[in-house]
Amino acid sequence: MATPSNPNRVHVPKPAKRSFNKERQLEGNALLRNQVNHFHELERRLRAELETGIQYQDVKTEGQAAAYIKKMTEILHHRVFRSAGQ
Amino acid sequence: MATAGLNNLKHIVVLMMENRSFDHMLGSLKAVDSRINGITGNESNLDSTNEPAKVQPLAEFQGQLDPDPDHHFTEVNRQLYGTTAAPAPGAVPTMSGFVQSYYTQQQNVSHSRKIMYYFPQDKLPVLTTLARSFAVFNGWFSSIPGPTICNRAFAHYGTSFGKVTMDMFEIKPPYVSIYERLLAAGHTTKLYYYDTSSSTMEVVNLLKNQPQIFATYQQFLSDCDKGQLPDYSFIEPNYSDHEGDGGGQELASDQHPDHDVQAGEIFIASVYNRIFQNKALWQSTALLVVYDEHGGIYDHVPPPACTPDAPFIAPASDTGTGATFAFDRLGVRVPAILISPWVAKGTVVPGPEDPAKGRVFEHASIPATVTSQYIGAYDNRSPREKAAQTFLDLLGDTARPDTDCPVFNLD
Repeated sequence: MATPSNPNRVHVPKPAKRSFNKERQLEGNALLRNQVNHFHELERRLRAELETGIQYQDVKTEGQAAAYIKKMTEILHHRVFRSAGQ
Repeated sequence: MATAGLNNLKHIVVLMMENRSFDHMLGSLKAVDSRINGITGNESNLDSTNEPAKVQPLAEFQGQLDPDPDHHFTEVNRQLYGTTAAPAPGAVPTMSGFVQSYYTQQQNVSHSRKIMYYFPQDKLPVLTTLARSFAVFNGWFSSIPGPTICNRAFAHYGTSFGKVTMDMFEIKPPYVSIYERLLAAGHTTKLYYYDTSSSTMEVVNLLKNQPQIFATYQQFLSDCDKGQLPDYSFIEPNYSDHEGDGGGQELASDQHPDHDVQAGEIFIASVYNRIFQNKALWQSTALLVVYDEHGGIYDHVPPPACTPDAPFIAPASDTGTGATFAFDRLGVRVPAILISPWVAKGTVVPGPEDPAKGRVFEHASIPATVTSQYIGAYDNRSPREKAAQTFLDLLGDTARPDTDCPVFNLD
């Protein structure tokens, strides 16, 4: 909270180092699971153009989800910039 | 006549966090400011053995809400009414089924009672300081008693196009996103996601069709420093623990259970600090910090009825309650704070607890406000957005000095 020397300066504690867990299972996070599902739906619709090289059924942890999402996001950006001739 | 704060306004920034209720995050503030509609400490739900489970200031940053509390439409119905059966028309939610809903996931009575836990003020120095320093809303509700994607859709489109679920794959004319409206009107806008590994929750409709409106959080920081922030910015936190591009650890900052709430505190503070540090930007920006929905976590205020989102009606097969849903009542209350030097210190925007002066906000208030500020008259909007309250009237005529505003020490 505010420190005595400056009543408006608020100290913000850092999270514990053990908080990080990229092996956390996606089944414990409905939001992230759904985000992966949305990207997979998009990959299915645009299959002719998109090739992530990642098997959707193998995406089971947060770290794996992040790798898949990164690949798909980069492909979608590249796809539009390419079609715009940039 | 517009206030000086409104005349100075050039940028609106919205930061939408994940899955925490008002009482869970800010309910403790009632003890220090009775105008804030938090908790008295006597609120309770019956657990599955019919014993009362009271609210307690025992919320932890991580580890308590695992598995993710169910907040799909059917279970939110149980949380609101104590049953998964559709309520009678006009029935007021009893807010009585949160513990029993969480019990269904693990059949563990002790664990289910943790859904009533809330954070004491000193565990959330960022959110509680901002709430007391600027304007906190007693009556900002999620748009739908349901999950993330359909709720976030109300922030982007002013409607969820009839969806109460997570599978929102199509938008329906004549409605378009706030980003498309602004671009068509010659304004600038960006949707900043944390990084490409976290990306956006607006995958199918916006990222697929308009990736040029997206940028990373690093770009947001740079845009703040250079004074190049667009007219309207929407920020998404980091949704996952993952390795950064440079090989370091990127900790999820969305506060979605079971991610570390402190990481979200730091993220909120970093957004605020960056705007605050550029004095020209600070004087011309309004920052709204808001949560998309309650994530299945207890709040004591019954969500009110609202204008139906005709012609959209969610089918019974989607609601799971045995009845259709006409989008005629709101979801559970969430934290919302409006930050600007033009907001009077300690502003509490009354909600439903004040029948005379109370105001009700929901996520459709976001495109409604942005459209009103930058475009003006605009007819192709959902009934919900047309009826939504806007919030820029909270900017007054007097700019507070920097010495009257908090600074967060993140070192």
